[in-house]
Amino acid sequence: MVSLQFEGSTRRGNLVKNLSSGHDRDRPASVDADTLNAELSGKLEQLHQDLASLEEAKNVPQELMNLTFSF
Amino acid sequence: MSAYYSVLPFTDANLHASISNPHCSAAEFQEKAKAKYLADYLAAVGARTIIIENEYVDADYLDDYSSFYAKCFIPYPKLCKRLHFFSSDISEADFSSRIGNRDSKNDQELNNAYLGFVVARPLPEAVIGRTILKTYPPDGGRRNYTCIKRYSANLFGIELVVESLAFQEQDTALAACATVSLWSAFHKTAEIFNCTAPTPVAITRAASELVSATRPIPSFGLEVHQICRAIRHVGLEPEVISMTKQLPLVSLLFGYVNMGVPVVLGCMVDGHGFHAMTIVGYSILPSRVRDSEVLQGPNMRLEGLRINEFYAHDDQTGPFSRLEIVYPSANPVQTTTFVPQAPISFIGSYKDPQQNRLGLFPFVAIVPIYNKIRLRFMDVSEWITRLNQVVSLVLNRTGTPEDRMEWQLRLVPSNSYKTRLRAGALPEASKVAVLSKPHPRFIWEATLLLDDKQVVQLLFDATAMQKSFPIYEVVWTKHSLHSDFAALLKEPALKVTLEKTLTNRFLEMLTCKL
Repeated sequence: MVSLQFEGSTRRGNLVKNLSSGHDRDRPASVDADTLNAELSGKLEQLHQDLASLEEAKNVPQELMNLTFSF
Repeated sequence: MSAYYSVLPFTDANLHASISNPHCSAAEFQEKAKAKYLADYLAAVGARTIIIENEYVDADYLDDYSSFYAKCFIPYPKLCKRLHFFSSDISEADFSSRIGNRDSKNDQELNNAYLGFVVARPLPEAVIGRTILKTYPPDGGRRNYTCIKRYSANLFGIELVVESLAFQEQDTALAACATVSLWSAFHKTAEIFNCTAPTPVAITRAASELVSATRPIPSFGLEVHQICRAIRHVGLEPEVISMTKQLPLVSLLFGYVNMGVPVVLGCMVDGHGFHAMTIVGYSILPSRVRDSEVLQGPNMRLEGLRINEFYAHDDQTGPFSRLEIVYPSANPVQTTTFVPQAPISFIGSYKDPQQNRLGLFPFVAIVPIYNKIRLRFMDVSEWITRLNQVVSLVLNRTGTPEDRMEWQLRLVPSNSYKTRLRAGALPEASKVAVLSKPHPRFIWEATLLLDDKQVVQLLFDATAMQKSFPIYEVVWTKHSLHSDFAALLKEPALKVTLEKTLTNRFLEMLTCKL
């Protein structure tokens, strides 16, 4: 397992922030915050679709309310 | 030999004969699939002796009798028989001496061997009346019958106790499957929500009070809106869940049933018709039995992926009958105009004439819930889905396979949560911080686990409104990924995107508790 390290973007002076808490790690993964930001932003559309999908799952069609359970 | 009771060794023949009556002979009864199920069930839980109360006044049957059977031309009897089952060998002389000599050791012995009872109704068809039977053993924790309660039976002065949930078969005069399904569910909800538990005929009447396309009695079944009406009649609210491809039905059922709230499940039994049953328990395995439980939408890796079967009170089969989960859902042979798209189907005990097992296709789940529990499973799922984006990113970036994580999402009374938390492994200071603050009566507890170790726990106020921010507590554990979450959630460069993903309130709550 590797730990997250944030490497600041060039405009913030390439400052590497090692945010590992010192537990047993093999090697730190150097991650550019901008890359991470882009990755998270890229998932926003999917998130909105997922949330819409969950919202849709709450709908109860009228046909269902009239089904008779009798068997 | 007493005229009021009989003691018999447990055999299929003795069971059939004991349940029979002048309107339904032992031979007629044993032809029914339910008779075989009951005999097999009793044999499996270890029945060795039947003690029969020959004249038993059953309150539920008495209500049915006064409402319907007393007014029939055929003189149906008012009294039932009650069959008690024991896992030890008891002779008539032995039992007789136990009645007359109160001895706490002897009474305890009888209690230890007690397996419950079946009320045998004096009817031509629906002979299995109120049935309270001990559940199967837990099988190492796999089988969980969460919707059971303590019942006591007084047998000629001997107090007997059994943990179960009441079951009976439909008589199609006063109760069809939906009515008896509700009747079973109300037995448990009466205990956890302090509501009433009406008789079958009272349920059918309440359901048909306002709108009924057909005559309510004889009852030919209930429509979904009538089921809802009956639930409101006992002071609860019906939470109606329709089936869609994106519904994690297994985890949803688990979320409620785990607290002891029975769920009425409306299914189409392939080739037979629409049938209602009550989900009362589940079987959970240590590892996953499927990779997903939805056909579309987010796969949240919920606890339901480890559940391989549910247990249902199915009046066409018997108590605690097994429903194996089929994922993805099989295709029904029978076609209907309205076809919901549940991601799963079930295999129960139904067979076609060629003995092929038939599928059960869920159409609707109805949860009889306390009126102040307003937050639904799917409302909580939305917040989990948001946090899952961040979780995925952390796992991805740290090279942690996502299949090592699991979300547990359960409705619980806060008092039971607090008791569990107090006995748990959290540091003392964290426990005091959570335990000493006020909690709503019911909460949704969402826990993220990695390799069975808690990473974070979110507490949702189950009494909150859907459009509010319902998370009132976040408990982070000092897990190996703790620093990674802290790094990511506190990174200033990610703040705007994180707020879009989580909402600013959720982000603030997550970070301030880190």
